Amino acid sequence: MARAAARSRRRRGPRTTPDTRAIVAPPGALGGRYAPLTEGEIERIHDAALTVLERTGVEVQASEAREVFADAGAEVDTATDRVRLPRGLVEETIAAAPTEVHLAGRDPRHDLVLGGTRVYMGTGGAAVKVLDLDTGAARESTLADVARFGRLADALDNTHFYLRACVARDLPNELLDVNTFYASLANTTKHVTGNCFTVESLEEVLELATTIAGGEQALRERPLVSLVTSWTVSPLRFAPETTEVLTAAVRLGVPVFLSSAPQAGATSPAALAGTLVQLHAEELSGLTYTQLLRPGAPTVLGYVPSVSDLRTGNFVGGSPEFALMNAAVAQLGRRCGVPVYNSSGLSDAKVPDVQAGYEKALTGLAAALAGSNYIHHSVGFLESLLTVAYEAYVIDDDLNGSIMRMVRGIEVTDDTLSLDVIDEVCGPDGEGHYLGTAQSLALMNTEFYYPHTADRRTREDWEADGAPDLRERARLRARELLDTHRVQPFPDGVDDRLRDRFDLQLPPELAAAR
Amino acid sequence: MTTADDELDLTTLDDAELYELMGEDLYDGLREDVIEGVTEALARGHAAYDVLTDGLVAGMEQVGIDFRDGVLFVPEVLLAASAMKGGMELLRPRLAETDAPRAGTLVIGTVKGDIHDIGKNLVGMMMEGAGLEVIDLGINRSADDFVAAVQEHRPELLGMSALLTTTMPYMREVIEALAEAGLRDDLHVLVGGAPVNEEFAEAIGADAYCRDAAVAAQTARQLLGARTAVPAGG
Ligand code: B12
Repeated sequence: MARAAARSRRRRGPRTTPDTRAIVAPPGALGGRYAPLTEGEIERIHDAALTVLERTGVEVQASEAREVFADAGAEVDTATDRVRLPRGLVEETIAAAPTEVHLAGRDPRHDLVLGGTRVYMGTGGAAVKVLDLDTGAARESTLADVARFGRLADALDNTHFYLRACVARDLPNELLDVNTFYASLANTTKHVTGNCFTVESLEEVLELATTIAGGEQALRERPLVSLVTSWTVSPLRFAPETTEVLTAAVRLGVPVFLSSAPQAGATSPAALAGTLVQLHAEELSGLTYTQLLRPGAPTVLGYVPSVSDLRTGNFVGGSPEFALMNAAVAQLGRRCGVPVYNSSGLSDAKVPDVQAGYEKALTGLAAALAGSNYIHHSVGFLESLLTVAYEAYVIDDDLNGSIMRMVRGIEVTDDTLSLDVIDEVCGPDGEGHYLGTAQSLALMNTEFYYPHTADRRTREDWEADGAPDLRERARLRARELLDTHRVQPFPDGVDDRLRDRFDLQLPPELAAAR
Repeated sequence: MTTADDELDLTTLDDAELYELMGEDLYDGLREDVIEGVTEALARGHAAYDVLTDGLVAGMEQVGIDFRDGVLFVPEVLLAASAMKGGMELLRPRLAETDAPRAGTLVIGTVKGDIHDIGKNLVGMMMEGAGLEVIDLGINRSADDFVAAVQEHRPELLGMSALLTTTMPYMREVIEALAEAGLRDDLHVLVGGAPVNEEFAEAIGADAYCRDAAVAAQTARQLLGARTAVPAGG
């Protein structure tokens, strides 16, 4: 027996670590254990939001959107541009809205099913600066950065989607959207989210995605791209231009994230509950709009509650109040049975330092444990959304792996209670420790999350290695992944067709998926 | 009505005490009290310009310093700015009658394609606090909008805000449109917004970049001081 086992072991050749990452920290693990609001409080906030929509209303200027509301029975005050939504209309909308939104990656292993308490964490935003991997200094972001961050996101285990990391500041506006989506899709097989500044560029992006997906039907079945639309300007105002883009996206069947980002104390009440009321009202006004436009349109509630530092007026992304509110919104979305997008895991720190670490851990953990479905901004973001860093991608991916491990929780079963193992180890023939048990062997790769960058060695080993700090170690890993990670290419001929059709500026060597 | 005890009779104060009190009331954001103080000073026959400089501007200077140092918070500064505005409403018509330097007017807006306005609003409010008349054009404003507003209000200062890298370049177009309309030389152009910096401001031919609202107010006073000898406090 023992000899047979040894033989079969030998036959396995050199030991390789099995790929158990998806078991340790599974994408889509079920959250919902952390609940900052009680059931009663959720109801009060929800009810208050409906009151806001009915009493205060939202500002919608004369537009197609306003007509859509008017046709549905909303009260339109043309003198003040206020649209007041009857409670019944909003409640009916909520009841009929899709409870799940399916998003696809080029590789189906990366598909996302948003809804319920399934948690996914990913990148986000549109940083305008990058900490240069070589110099460490902040500089303007470029299209090459969009591509390289995409490739890194593809390589990292605990980054579940790629919302473009930064702005290609080396491109003119007309080329921006289509090139950003191209650089992203060419470098990752994960789902790609972005934004479009105009309806025309949205149409281009859609044509690009259709070509990659292999046809309109294929794209509809497997949406490789989705759109963030900041259609409101808090408090309670529809922004005409972005609403136009939202309208087009809904009509074209693109999954949309209704992003609204009020700052408590500045563009929403200083009372956190009041910010939640206003934000929930804004989200419900948007949901009502998309569902009136096209019943069943794939829509994700995009709550981004933040804080204004009232000492300066600065935007704050790393505070405890931010963490509380971004967890609470997962509960509000769930109350409506509609998927939730939110923002967490960002920081106000300028470099990946201790401040960055604790701010990211606080907010990311809170939102994930609360069961938010699509947590963006959670990889690499610094300086209150203005800067992104390669080494921070690597560090935050490890943090998010740890968070997803916590979301997964503790499995309590007859087996895991371990009665027999305990009895055996502590029994007369037992070893007195668990290091060599069959259970330890069986679970060593699935029960524990092993960070790539955290240092758990002895001080002596660490010093012998030159005593590198986390940032230094993460830089090494980022470089290594960028140099070695290969991305699954587009289907044959697709890249040439895209380059013929669009003015694509990304140098071919940076289009990993060619 | 307050009781006789805490109702201070302003007429019993000497001039120095009156101005000191005005400054304190301003600091505390007591709009009505500031208006009373200004009214009393004018009733004593003081020139509007002196009331402005010795009373209001002096008071606001301390507000600016304490905001910068983190002692006062934004809501407190806004209260003070509102009190300042209350006092200015009384003074402005009188200032206009005399040949005293104008306190200055600022036209401000967020440029076309951009809907970010929190920073712009903060700057506007700080400028009001500094005694300027502020014309806020709102968000998503075209070069034509800016030109028309400058033609109408003839401001000393024009402020543009952009939070997007994609809308920043539009600031240059506005400056060019102003030049074409022959309005550029009479104006100080200030620009700001998170992605904007000194270098960019210089490249597009703006007069100043300000990284925050406190710096904006300070810069405005310096610029106006240089041109019109308006009180250059702070
Ligand atoms: C809040 C916010 C929003 C809110 C705006 C609400 C509002 N009423 O303004 C909402 C949610 C609507 C929004 C929308 C969008 N946003 Co936004 N937003 C922000 C955020 C987080 C904070 C801005 C803010 O209010 N800061 C607080 C204020 C007080 O600071 P401030 O604006 O910098 O102003 C100070 C100084 O700059 C200066 N100043 C400012 N203006 C002026 C003017 C003058 C004359 C002077 C002298 C000084 C001055 O003084 C101010 C006071 O101290 C920034 C990130 C950031 N940290 O800046 C992103 C950010 C600017 N947004 C961004 C993006 C991408 C968008 C969207 C395109 C999102 C989308 N996917 O659709 C849309 C844009 C739509 C449009 N056409 O404009 C990007 C910009 C990317 C780029 N290309 O440049 C940023 C950097 C975030 C990110 N990394 O993703 N956004």
